Amino acid sequence: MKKIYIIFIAIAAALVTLVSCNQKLLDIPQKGVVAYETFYQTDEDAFSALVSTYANVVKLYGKLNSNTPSYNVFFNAPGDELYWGGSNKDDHVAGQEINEFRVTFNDNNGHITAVYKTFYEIIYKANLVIDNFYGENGELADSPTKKQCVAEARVLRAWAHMELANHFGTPPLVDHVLDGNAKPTNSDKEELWQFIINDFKTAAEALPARAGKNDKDGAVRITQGAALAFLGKAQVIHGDYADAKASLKRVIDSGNYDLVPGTKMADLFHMAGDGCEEKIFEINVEDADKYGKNGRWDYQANQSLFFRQLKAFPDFTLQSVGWGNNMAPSEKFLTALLKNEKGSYRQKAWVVSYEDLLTEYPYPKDGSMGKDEKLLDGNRGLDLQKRPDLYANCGWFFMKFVPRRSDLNANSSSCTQENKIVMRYAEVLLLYAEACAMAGDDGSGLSALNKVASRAGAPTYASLSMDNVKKEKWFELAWEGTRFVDLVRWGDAAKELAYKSNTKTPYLRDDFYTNKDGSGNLITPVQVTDDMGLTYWTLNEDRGKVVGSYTDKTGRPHKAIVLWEDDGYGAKGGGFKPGKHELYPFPLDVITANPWNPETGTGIKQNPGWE
Amino acid sequence: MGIIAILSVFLGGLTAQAQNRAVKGTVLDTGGQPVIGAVVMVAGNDRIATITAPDGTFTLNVPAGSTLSVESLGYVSQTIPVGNQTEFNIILEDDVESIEETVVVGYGVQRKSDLTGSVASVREAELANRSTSDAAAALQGKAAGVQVYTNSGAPGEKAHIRVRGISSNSGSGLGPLFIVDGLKVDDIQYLDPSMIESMEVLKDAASAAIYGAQAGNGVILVTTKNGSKSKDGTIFYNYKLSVTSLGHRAEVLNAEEFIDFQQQAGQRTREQLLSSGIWDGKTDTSWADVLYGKGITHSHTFGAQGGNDRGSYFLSLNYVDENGMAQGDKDYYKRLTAQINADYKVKSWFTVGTNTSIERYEKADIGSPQEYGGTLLGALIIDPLTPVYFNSPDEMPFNMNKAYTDGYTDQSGNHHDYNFYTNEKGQWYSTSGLLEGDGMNPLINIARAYGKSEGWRVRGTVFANITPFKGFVFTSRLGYRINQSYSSDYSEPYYVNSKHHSETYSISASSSQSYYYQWENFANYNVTLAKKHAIGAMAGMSYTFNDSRGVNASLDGEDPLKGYAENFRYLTQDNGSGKKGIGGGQPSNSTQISYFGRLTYSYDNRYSLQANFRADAFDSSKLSTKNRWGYFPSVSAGWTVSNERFIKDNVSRDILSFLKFRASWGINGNISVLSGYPYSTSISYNDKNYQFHVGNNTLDYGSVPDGLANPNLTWETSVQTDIGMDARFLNNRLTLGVDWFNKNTEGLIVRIAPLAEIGVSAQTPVNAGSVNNNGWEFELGWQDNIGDFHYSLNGNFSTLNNKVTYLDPLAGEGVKSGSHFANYKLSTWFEEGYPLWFLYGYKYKGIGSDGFAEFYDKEGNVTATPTTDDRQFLGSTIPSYQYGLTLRLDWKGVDLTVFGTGSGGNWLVPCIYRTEHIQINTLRYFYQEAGKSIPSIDKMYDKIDFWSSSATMFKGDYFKIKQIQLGYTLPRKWTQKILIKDLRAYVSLDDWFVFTKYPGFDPEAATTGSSTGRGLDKGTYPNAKKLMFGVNISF
Repeated sequence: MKKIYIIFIAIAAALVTLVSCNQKLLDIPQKGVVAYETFYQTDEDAFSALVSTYANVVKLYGKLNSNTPSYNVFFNAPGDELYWGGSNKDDHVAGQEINEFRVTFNDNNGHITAVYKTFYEIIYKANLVIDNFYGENGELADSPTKKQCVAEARVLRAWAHMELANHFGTPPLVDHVLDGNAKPTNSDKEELWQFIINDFKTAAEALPARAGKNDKDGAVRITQGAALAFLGKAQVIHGDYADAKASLKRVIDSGNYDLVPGTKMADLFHMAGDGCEEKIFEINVEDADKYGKNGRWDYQANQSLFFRQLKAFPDFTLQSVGWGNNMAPSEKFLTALLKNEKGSYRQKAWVVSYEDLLTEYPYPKDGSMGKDEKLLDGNRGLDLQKRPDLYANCGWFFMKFVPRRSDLNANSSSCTQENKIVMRYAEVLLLYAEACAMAGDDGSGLSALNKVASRAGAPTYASLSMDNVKKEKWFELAWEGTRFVDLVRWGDAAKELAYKSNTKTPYLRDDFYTNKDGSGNLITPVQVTDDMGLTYWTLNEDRGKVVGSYTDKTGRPHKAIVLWEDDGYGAKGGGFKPGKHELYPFPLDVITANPWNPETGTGIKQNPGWE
Repeated sequence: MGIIAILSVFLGGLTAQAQNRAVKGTVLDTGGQPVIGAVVMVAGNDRIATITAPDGTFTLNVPAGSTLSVESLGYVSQTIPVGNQTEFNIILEDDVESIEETVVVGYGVQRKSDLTGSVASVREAELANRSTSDAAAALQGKAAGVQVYTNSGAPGEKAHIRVRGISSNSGSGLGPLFIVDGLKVDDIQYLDPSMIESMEVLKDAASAAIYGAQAGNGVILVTTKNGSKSKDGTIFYNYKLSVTSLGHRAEVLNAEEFIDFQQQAGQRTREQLLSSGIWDGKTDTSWADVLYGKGITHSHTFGAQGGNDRGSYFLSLNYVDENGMAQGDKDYYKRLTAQINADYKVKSWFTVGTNTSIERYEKADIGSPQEYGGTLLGALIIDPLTPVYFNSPDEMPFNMNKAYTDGYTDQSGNHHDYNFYTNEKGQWYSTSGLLEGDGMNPLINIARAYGKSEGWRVRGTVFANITPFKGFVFTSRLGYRINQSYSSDYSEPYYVNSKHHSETYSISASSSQSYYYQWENFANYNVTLAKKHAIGAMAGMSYTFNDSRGVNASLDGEDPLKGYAENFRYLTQDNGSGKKGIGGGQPSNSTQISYFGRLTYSYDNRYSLQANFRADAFDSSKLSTKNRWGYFPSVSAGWTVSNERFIKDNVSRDILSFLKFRASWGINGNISVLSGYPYSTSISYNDKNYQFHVGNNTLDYGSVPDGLANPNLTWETSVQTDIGMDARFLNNRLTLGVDWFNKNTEGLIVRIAPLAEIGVSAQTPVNAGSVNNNGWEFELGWQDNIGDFHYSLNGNFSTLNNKVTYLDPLAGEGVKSGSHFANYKLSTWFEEGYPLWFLYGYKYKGIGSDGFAEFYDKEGNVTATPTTDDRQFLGSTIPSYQYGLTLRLDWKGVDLTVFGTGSGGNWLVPCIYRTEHIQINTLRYFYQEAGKSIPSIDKMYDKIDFWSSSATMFKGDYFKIKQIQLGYTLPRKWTQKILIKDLRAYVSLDDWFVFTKYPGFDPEAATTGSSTGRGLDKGTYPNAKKLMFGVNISF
């Protein structure tokens, strides 16, 4: 018996220890990753880190988060070019409240938060390149590849800082990779701009130039020309007009860029214009199969400048799908543009009226319809049967960014591949004209300005004045993300945006289904019998500007009307407030996670008026 | 004591028989049935002992003048002087005190009277004959402090268990650890309640501590049935038939009310609806009735059990075929489970055994709840004006008609027709003329659903018990789980409306397999010294390993298959034109090493002490090397006051039968919140891309760190104190149990976004929050007989306070903000000082003087225009109390069970109405209350502030009568003639009566959802009411 006990205990002890000794059993290597410590060594690693930086810039042009359009669209929101519309006045509020400076506009705005964060993501990725392949004094940049990667990263880092500075004033300056415990604080404005200008300058000298106007690849990657264009832009914004003139002149004189002809203006924003002579830097988007059917939201982001409540679309455009922000040109912009150049290449490429939209383009099953027939075609036009109205639309639509059928990825019904312009030659010419207007012109400034105007098919200018520059830039770069920043730095914001205190907003409505009068009171529809003997109910009253009409399939007439109505927000004290609205607020997340601490001098101080 | 005696029989009894005289006899119970395995021994000399045979007989040689002692578990022991008698007919009385008998605890058993922790034990009888086929669901309402939610009534959806509240902010770490016969399992849905002997819920930290880092949310130990050591085996067959139908329903507007709502909202008039052809003037569709009909569930259980003094077996085969109440046969759950339990004593000191279950399942559903475009929500929101089918294309609304006549043009410019679904009569499935998008007929989603999942699962253990000397048992146990699963889906082009259509086919399949094993070795030693000092010790270790992997593939395209008949719908039939997707193949492994031990000491059945300890180490996919070990101690103590002299001598047992106080303290961890190398950062290799060339499709790839590392990351840790009392009064007829617990969980894992300027978008998991749960638990029971009439009433009631006690100030809005619905500014929220994921929105005051809604701002002032800063605490989503009540009556073979359960104190938001889609239907409540407690329709229909306020929130209180069951057991004297031992037939109404003021579908289903989505009722598959017939036969 005793022996058995000993055997048992020995077996038990053996069993227990057998497994227990080997803690190595707990080490399970992670799959599909590379250890941090072994990366950032070779040329290939440098290039790979740079690619990640570009990829993050691409992200700015997609949907940053739910319903956030691409960043440049959003940067237009506070300007005087567009209405941020929607199904109603509370649809896509985050954009509407910026656009109208509603009282509800505060530091807790999803779009602002998303854009702010994404710019710092770009800076982080650029810093990974610069920290790991440049070092303190360039000692790590021991190969041409590394040198070029660092220079490109430097431009993207400075560009991100510049965009942030334009909208947030004193965003933290992040010139190296921060560790997890860092508590960044507001930058000194002057120091920040010097940093931006210096980075552009340093990089410009280290970068190869674009290899001529036909070098398409040279338009989708940071080149010397891009660095100089950004440098010139920064110098203009900073007020260094003479320096700006010199920088921009180098771009102009390089001969590597030119304006496309007026007839091709509309192509600038589509695949047909990808990498063309006018592009200084644009984000290359070509959807390889890997994005899949719903992989990217570029189309949706683009659609945010489009219209979704149409029953049918011209052949060359895409059927509206999904959900987007219905943005439309502002009445102020339209009035000015039409007055200046109705019928110009530019006007036709940029905007279209409701009536022209229905009649000027081929539609599916158009057959031999005449214009009147098209207008009354029940298969096209506004689909306001589904919704009572379209908020903030005065009967005109954007065409500039409307996605084309030809932009589609061949394997996708929702991903388009047109490139996203960051800097184009027309902006360089306009910046040059401004620098000349401010620092003295030898005639080349006026000629640059007129080059832009005449290409557009618009009247040219007799003299180089700031007013002329401002006007031309407004028309040319509409919805490209510069206007609001320009208004603020020119000191024109209060004047030009005063109209936003207006309590009335245009609603585009189908008269047939609209049973409210301008004061919101119900109108009883009346029964009418028409010539054909058909009986229908209508609101037998002409209220509002008629911008189009059609008959539905039972022969009832519908009229698209624009009604200016009080959406209730103006009355609450909306509108542009000088001294506050020039800058966006630092996002609430940023302020609460890292509040300003006067004792340590760390944390983020909120912008004036937003505290 | 009994165990020791039995052991002594095996070890020594056989050699000690050379004595004076032989006695023999039979041991029977009060019902005349033989008592098997009773220990018959000479009092004071346990070396002269034997046990009774299966027929209750025994023989023993005893010294002259000795006294026989007869003991058997569950019976009152007897001593009988032998005298001159040689034959004994001994009748053992039931021992009421030991009916509670032993309770399974981790790696051992304990007498319930020795327990010092808080363990709820639910027995076979409580689980039998329920309509559910899910063991977890059967636990509902049976134990205080154990919340069971069935958050979907869809076939095959498992119930969720929460022990003592919600201790984690994450979704993955809320449920308890399940141990079935020693095997760790992911859930217990596969176990038919009929296979279960008992379920023990280890609620307090001290009881659960033996499971260390996995026990933070409680432990549920399930013991499946074992063979009885009766002379004759038993063959049994149980059949159940359930007819399910929609129970409590959400009342939405009918056609007249809907039109009135639209008119009052100023949207469209009756005339417009008629003239535009949207309404035909008579249609009034009740979509809930369209979607839900009757479902049928059959359940068969067939098995056998038996055994002898060396071994026992339990074999059971259970088949469930559940067809859900949604129309058609597209939602079902079929499951076949075989349970094989056997043990055999090979040598007197060596026993082997197995508990193994083999499961085959197949499941299909009609879609999970979705905020947009889901089938289930569709049945709530589509307007009543839309008919179910269109008889001709002319009846279709504009866009549908247009799509029907025009078709579409593909990217190459070719024209195609859309695929319109029709029913068997050739009618078209309708879509709402008022609402594109979500206003789709729910039946079309059923018609075009072809997805299903199926698989095999084997779960089991094999074990050996070695008993080298008295009181010592060494167990080596290998547990294993093998899963094989396969799911497939097929969808055709279809057109419902302009938002929901597809021009492509899509075929997908995925196959996955996993295995898990655990090897555990532990030894138990129990000894009683000087009769009064009972000492127990247990020590052991365990090693577990898990491996899972799978592959999946998909095929999409306009015409990707060689054919589309049913026998072509496989990936293999690919014609080469479609787009293919593949994935998987990467194994996922995890492993764990643990050591554990327990010491118990009890003195004179009066004082008990217990200490547990566990050390756990986890693999590098969960924790960094420096943090991988965790240590979990616990202590507990009990004082059985009723065994004290001063009680025994002064208070009659007929008044105070038993009284014990106990207290426990311990630490547990919650490891389930960690997976996938959360603490580390590496380079996501070639994960990003950009293209440096225009016009060709070559991508350049980029690599980037995947986040910020946090090597300090560790599990959530719970520290829990429990104070309890168990008492029985009036000759054990009245039982009372009271517990108070206080559980602090620290280190809640919060994914904190690094400061924006750091530029890392990936959130870093940080142990950054704490939550407290505390509450009272009461269990009260009464049982008695009046002649042949036996009745019992058992109830339990528990309260729960849940509060977040700390949240790192770095946690921004992204961490605090949980789920929301559509454009509602109301959401769930996570913030210090409030319950986990409470409802956060505008506080509704009432109707203002202008007729519009008024609210309270954050300072308590009245405002008509709240801003997002005015959002505040509106209500908790966690029930603050719950209760269960079971009544049993038994009279001459007739039995009646009435069982109900309820909970309350929580708030729910029915997520139906949307201000940006005002053409959808809504709850009748908002129509009826308009102008009374809420603004009139024209003043609220498009006011998102109103809909984001507490005005849209409802109490989630409910009481459900889960079961009313009437059964009849035929008298044995009749059935024995046809060789049937027992025959019981019953009829039952399950989930039939629901008492609630909640206007949505089902407050119980709505109560759950994901962790952050708790309280937001986005249209789940409602729980059904069931009419059930059943018969139990045993031979």
